[in-house]
Amino acid sequence: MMVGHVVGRQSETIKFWLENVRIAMPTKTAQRGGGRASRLYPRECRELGINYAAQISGEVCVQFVRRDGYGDESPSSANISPGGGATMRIPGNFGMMPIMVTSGACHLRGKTPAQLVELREEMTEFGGYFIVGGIERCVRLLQVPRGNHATCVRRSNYANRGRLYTDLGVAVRCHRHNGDMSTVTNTLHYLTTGGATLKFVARKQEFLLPVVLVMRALSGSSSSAGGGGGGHGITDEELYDRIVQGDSSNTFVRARAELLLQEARQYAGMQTPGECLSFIGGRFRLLSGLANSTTDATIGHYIIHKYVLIHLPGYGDKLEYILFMLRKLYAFAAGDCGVDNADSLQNQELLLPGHLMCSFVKEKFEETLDNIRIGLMKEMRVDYAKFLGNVSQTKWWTRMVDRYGMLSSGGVGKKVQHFLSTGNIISTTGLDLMQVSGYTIVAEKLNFLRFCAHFRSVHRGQFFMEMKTTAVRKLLPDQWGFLCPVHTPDGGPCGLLSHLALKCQCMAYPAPTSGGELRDLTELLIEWGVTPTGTGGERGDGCGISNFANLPVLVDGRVIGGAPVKLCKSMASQLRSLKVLEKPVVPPTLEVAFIPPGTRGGPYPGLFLFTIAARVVRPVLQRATGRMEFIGPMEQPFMDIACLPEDIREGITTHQELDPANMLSLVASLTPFSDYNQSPRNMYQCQMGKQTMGTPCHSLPYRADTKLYKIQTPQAPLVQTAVHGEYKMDEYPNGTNAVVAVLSYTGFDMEDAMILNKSSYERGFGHASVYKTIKVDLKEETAHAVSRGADKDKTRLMNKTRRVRVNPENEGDLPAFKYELIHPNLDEDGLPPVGSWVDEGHALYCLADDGMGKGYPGKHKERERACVQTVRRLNLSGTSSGKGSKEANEALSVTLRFPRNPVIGDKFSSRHGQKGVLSILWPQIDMPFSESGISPDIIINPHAFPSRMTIGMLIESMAGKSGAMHGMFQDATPFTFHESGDKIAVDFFGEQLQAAGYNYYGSEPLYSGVSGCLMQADLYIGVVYYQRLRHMVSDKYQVRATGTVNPLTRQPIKGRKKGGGIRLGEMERDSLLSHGAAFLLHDRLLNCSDRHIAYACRRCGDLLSPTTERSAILSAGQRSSDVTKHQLRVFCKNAKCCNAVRNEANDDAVQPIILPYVYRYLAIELAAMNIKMKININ
Amino acid sequence: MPQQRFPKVEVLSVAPHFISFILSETDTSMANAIRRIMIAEVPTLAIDLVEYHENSSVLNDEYIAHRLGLIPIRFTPEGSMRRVPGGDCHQAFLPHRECVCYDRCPRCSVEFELDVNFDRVNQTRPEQERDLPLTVTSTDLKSNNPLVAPAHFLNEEEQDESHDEGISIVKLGPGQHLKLKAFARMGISKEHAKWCPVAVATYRFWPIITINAEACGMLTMEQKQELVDACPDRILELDEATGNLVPAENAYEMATFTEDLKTTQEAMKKRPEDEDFVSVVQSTDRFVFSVESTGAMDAEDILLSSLRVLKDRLNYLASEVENGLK
Repeated sequence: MMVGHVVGRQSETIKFWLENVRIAMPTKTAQRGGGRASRLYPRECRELGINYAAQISGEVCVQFVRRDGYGDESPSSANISPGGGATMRIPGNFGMMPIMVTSGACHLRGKTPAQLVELREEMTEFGGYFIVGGIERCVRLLQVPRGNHATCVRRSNYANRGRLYTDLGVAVRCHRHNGDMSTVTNTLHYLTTGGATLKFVARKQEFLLPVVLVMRALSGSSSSAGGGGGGHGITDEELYDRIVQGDSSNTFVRARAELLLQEARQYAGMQTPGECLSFIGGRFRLLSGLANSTTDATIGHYIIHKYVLIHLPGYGDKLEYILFMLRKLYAFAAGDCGVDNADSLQNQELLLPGHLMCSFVKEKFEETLDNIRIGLMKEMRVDYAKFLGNVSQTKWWTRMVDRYGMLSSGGVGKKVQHFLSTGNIISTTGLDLMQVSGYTIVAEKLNFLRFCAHFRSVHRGQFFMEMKTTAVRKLLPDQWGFLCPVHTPDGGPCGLLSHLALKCQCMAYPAPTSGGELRDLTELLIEWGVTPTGTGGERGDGCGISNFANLPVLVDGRVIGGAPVKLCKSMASQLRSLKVLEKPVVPPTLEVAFIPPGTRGGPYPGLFLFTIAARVVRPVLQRATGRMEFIGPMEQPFMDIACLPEDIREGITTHQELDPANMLSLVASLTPFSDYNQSPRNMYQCQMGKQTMGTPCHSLPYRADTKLYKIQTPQAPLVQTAVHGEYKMDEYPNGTNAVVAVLSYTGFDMEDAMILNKSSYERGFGHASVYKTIKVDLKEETAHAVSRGADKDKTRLMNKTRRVRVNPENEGDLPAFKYELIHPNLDEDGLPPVGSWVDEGHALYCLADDGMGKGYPGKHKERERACVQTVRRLNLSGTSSGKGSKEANEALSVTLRFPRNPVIGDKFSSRHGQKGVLSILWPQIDMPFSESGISPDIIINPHAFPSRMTIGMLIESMAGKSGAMHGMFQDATPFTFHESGDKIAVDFFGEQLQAAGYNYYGSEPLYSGVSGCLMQADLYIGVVYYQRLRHMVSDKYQVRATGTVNPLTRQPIKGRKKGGGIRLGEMERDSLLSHGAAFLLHDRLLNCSDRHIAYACRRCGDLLSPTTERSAILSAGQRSSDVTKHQLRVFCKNAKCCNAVRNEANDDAVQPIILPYVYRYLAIELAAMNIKMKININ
Repeated sequence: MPQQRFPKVEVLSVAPHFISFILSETDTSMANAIRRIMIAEVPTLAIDLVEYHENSSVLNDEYIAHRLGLIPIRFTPEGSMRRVPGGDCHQAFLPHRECVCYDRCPRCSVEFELDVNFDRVNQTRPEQERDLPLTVTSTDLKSNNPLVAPAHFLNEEEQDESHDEGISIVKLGPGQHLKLKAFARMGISKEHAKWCPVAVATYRFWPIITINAEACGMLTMEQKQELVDACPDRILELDEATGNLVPAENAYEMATFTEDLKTTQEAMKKRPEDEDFVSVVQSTDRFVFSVESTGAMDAEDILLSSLRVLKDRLNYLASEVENGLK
């Protein structure tokens, strides 16, 4: 709970805090006339384009605390001093909190697949995203420094902090001990004098405190009851002993410790903890924002609680940890231990969406309380008497809470919505984050692979994107099994955006420390013989000093004590065996990082145990017990894990991989025989698999995504990996099994083009559709209509009729007129019938005024013909995003289906990074055919293989062929076959092929379809799974003869949508010049661009002075035809030239010349600057 | 006409949906021409236009239309037309573009009606099937011409064995209704694959298997066995009694002319210039055809029809040449 202070009545303090903050389940706002609010489901939010959000409610508790003299109420504790009066509870509303789908506050939680389908969701809906404005967005995982672990940092800008500063430091990112997942980074800077300062960041400002002061302050008691930090304090001698730890031979540390203490002499009068606290408190009075009546010492406590080593609640622990950091810093400075690589996963953890949201929301509530405090102060200043009268009234408080909690602008909920919809964090404290934007991404439902990959993608941070050095992008061995080495994009985000490996898990919660057979780790360690130091262990008196020969033993960044190397090693293995027990004694996800003392300059040794959240773990086999053990990235480099059985070295290897393919991500492990491919090809496939037109979802009629791609004739791949079945990828198939022949046939398969059998195409190969949803805000449209003269109250969606004369002679009984709709393709309600087709320029909907006019249609703007798939009328008035709920707030959403069957130029690819474009549809009779009469669906060129080395594709072809012959799916899991020995892929499938009567290596004699003769060589033909990629010519082609021009330069505009041209740039120009293609150049750069006929004066060489004038004599003509005839006189306005010719005659010196218009524009611009440009015309 | 040849046809096996025959005493161009015509130019009926009255199924209109188009439509000539050589539909119907009618008429098109309403059908279904998805199949297409009907994919002998009930078009769920009119027209597969009457129409060269008995005498039994095993198509056999290599009885069906035999022999020879033990070469004037129908026509008729088309085209060529010479 959070507490704000206001000095109220002279002897009283108003204390207020929040309690019972709750998030409800999403509901629709109750309709007028009462009634229970009904449930709001995610499906409705997607279709309506609104937020899936729920009410945040809470209670603001107010208490008046009587102050006795100068009160010393603890600011950090939520306990209300017993002397306080009664507590007023004011219910508050803090806006609408976006709800993660399938989270605890979501209606979909725990629903069975059948129930999900009933709710129009995917059967396999797994959620994990938010719906903001109808769009599914997810917060992506971020790699951040490991929590509660001090790392050695060498950074050149550390030296810029001040005169004495060096580039060395020890940094620790602390998770707050209360588990709210907010963090603070503390850095211990090494000074050239041997001293150190402690840095923390508060409100985005850096503060540096001399470490001795902090240590002295921490030596007191953590409670402020004893009048400003009581306790015994610490003597310089004790400090010295605890730094040096009896290592008298280490002169480096001894000298530094002495210097540190000597330097501290300058802080006169700051010996006791109280004095130090007061000193610190004094500096941070303004920053703390505490009440004026608070003492300096209290503020000192507050700062330490809030910013110094916040992962430890006790001062003793904090002190011991600072000493540990100091020792590590000195070891680092002396070169005993090396720098910790911040880019290695060893020193990283993941920032999870929930953790980020939690600390973000918490900060927003703190801000709300602070706003209320500021508001109260303002009220006091304005009218104190009135304030006194109001302050005890609940009603007034409700108003204050609503006003200063910014309820009208959406409150806390709105801020979270803003964060989710933009990905930008607006924060006063900075939340210890490196970046302010790019936290959220749209979870595109392009196909299932892409959708899944969004939730397992891990980003290194926006900051590193701009970094010139490539060190951060390097593939380090540390990430084995945690992050996939294959699934990373090439280009800009390469190595920065990776994906979690298949079996890698992320700890959302800290490992439970109690319950079951679990034992307290600290107790266990001390029982095993760890010498407690400081306050380590239950009996730690805070004075215990470990010996320098002992390695430090830490649990979650808390120093327990020290133990000899041997003991540490045995404890580590013992902990591992306790982890995997049926009823584990220590948490099964405990990370036991035993870093043995090694060579000089290696990592800092110790036994580091972690149970905290946000770590990544993965399962491996523990050989001794045969059980599965979760290991973390910090311990992994110090363990002996065999990948395959043949890698085992008896006596050394303790662990084994469960499956060598576990190091791959989901998408990467779907590539068949990926172990036979050149590795970049597998990377390309990971990219292309995510751009495939496949099956995005099964709830298609209930989705209103702006663009969805769907293939009509998908198949389950004949050749698939184990993961494919395990993850039921066949629910969302992505391609088609095609008979592929590898030969150079017509020349149409050059340069990665592929030939498609026309009959295969006609039978449905690659047929697909694009679904686009257009949303129209009827309120806006009405306003637009009103601006064009419609009557606001009478305007609605409708299609008017017009009377047409059908029978002018009025013969017989036929009626003279009939009524027909103005927009023939719309129904009377102004909406298109489902299943009808719309062409460019056709009305898609129509608003009209009941009275006058033809109506105001909205047109189909795209060139392509589309079919109306769904028409939805949305009532947004009851929803949170409907502003001004009294007015009818309606919208219209129309889903259009564009048939997109393959055309020449569309992109296809196999699953091995072999992409190509369709170059021609070749008739079946002309295609080659085999003995059995099979003609290939696709022909690709053999040149696609030698340089790319995608042997996996060749094997897939064989496997697919034999699978088709024997009627079975083939297993293509990577690493199941070997390059030599008894299980060679080629032999395995070769034998199957031979059994089916085919050539062992999958090649067959083919007949030419044209001549009917047998072709000279045996040709490679088999079955390969082909994907159709979403890049289609229809979205990309650009063509222009004439069209829109830029009015200023008269050159063609750019942009495909606007019918613009493609720039013929300098390099293109150069190439044409070098070819001497003068006519082409002239055509491109002048005739098709800004060709212009200008009049120039040969006499004065001016381009601007020649002008035209209606001839005075001719215009004076009496006949009307003379007037309408535009007979113009051309002459030069230049004074000299004017005189040269007669007034009424054309100036012969003025002659039309062809120029680019920009040239004239240049002349005009120069003229504006008083520069005259002359053209020499001969 | 010099070197006039008289091609022969020897039928190996014939069934309604499949025919296998040997074409001999002609050359590859003739064989390939017949293959190409069977695939691309034999006229058949296929649904070409669909008019939707109601479609509340999960599949969209084009998709269903595409599926309807691919259903083989069978024309059964009656009476005197029955045994006309090349019994295809070209005499019964006019090509749509050549018909003089305004839109369509029984001369150029056949109308099918399909009207399946899940709710209506559901009431009449047995208890255990009720509310299960209902499959609309080609049997639901009702033709207005008694001679034209969607083909049943299987031949009569196989019909009893399977419970195949037509070709699935779409599945309907509760509340869904599909009502449409489809128009079948005559066309050829050159225009669209749906008019293709054959699933497979292919030929292979007759294999001439010569076994050099003299050279084979030098081989051990193991080597002979190796030669037998080298052929994935199993065209060789080892005579148990005599220990001689003999061609398999149905070698012509299986021979694929792979290079496997050749490469194995090369390894066995003492000198590369030695004679081959076994050679499999393609005959230049004998072809084994196999034709499998989609069900739109009987396989035999496809062959006859293709010959008719070929003849018509040659006649046309001849008349054009004559006209040209005049």
